[in-house]
Amino acid sequence: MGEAHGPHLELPDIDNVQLVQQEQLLQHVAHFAAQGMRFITITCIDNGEQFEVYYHFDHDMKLNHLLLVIGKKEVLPSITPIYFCAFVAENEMKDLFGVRVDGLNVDYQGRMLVSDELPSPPMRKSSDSAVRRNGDGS
Amino acid sequence: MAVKTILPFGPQHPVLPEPIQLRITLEDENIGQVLPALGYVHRGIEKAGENNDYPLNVFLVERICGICSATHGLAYCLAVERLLGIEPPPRANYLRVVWAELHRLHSHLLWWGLLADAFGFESLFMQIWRVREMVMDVLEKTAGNRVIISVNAIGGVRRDLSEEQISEMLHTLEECEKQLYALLPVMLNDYTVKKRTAGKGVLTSEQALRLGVVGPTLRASGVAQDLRMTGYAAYGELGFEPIVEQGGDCYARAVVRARECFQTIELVRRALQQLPDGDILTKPRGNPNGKAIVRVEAPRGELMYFVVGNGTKNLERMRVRTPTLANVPALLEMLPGAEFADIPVITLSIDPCISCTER
Repeated sequence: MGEAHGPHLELPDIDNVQLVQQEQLLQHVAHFAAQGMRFITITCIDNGEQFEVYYHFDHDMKLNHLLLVIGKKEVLPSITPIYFCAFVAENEMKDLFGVRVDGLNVDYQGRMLVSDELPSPPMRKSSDSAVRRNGDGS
Repeated sequence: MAVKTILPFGPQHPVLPEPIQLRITLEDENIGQVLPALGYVHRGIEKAGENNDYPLNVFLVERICGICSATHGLAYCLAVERLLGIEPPPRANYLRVVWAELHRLHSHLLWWGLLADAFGFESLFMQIWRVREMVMDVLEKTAGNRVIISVNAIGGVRRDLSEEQISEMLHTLEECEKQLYALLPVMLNDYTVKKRTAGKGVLTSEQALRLGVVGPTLRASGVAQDLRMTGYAAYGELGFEPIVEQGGDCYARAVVRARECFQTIELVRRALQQLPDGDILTKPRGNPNGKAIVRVEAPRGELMYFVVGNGTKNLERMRVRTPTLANVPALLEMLPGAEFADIPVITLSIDPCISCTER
């Protein structure tokens, strides 16, 4: 567990966003599940230094979001023990951004959408992925 | 002792024109565990959305899925309009509803035809697709293309409807409605249809919400959720009420879609009758900045766009959550316990769109 959010984080101009710490994530998600909320999806945004991870839920047609900001090498706890259906979104995040997710109920090992031939996560913006892909960063 | 077999259902299968595989564990004729395999044709459209100028993305997102291309274009435009702080003219909002509902109508008719084909009712399949052709002709006459009609633009719509086109559209829809009414007794009461769909792939409302199910599949489980109730575009002025069934089985899903065909025709009729005069486009200025989330009701269910602008002509992020991505996990609960012969019908009952899934 590193710094959960940095001072440069801009609060998003969308409603009902709750910024949460990594260790509180499952507790918040379980609370949403107990309220009967429907899981929508997860959005990962690479802001260069960190990942902003939004968990989107629906409650009677109103959106609720949890926002977690994590370092790129940190490990996210899977929410699939609470919302089974989140395995699609978590595997997608793992494939496309290389976010490490621990405890996935159905784990495609980073190969749900992309093939073995792709050496690095394609949606990642940091230069280190370019280095890995081309060898010299070009 | 039961014999265990692993059955690869897809990626090439007669009832699945698009590539997805369900790895199904059979115990004799009964289904045990099911695992989906995706990624056969993943296109990286979210990534491409970061590289295009934001107005060009309208054409890109329309190609996520042909069958609901108007809905993808609409959702993306609504999200970018929110970032730019512009409102489309009222006439554009009504025209957006007209084309979005025509897309829903041809999508539902396409699904009904495929369902009939999946259980071998070929004459019903052909009758339904004959009606669908009338809708495709209307789309071609009014928007210049059958499937990807590209009517949405940031700030409104690209095309207007003339009085003659409106009159022809109303006439075609009346004919379409008449022919559908004639088919309805077969669609809802025929022995074959009921035998192959009733009691199959049951999902309770509690299960549906827990599994994140959307669209007609959710409404067939008794949950009255339809994003059109939120009143985006002109839906707030058309007296929209969601169609809900309680059965939670494949039959209930078929009934919801059949009833929605008639509702769609009525919505187009109302939108054309109330169509305001005026411009069809508010010219966008500047570049998008900030974050916006928009949800609309695509034919298969909730479609979400999360768009992040950074003040340049390129978007920082374009996240698209399509309805099939939400409905696939439900198959993992609907299929186990069912019989081998019911796999095609249960799988089709969520109206899987692999184009959507493989953005």
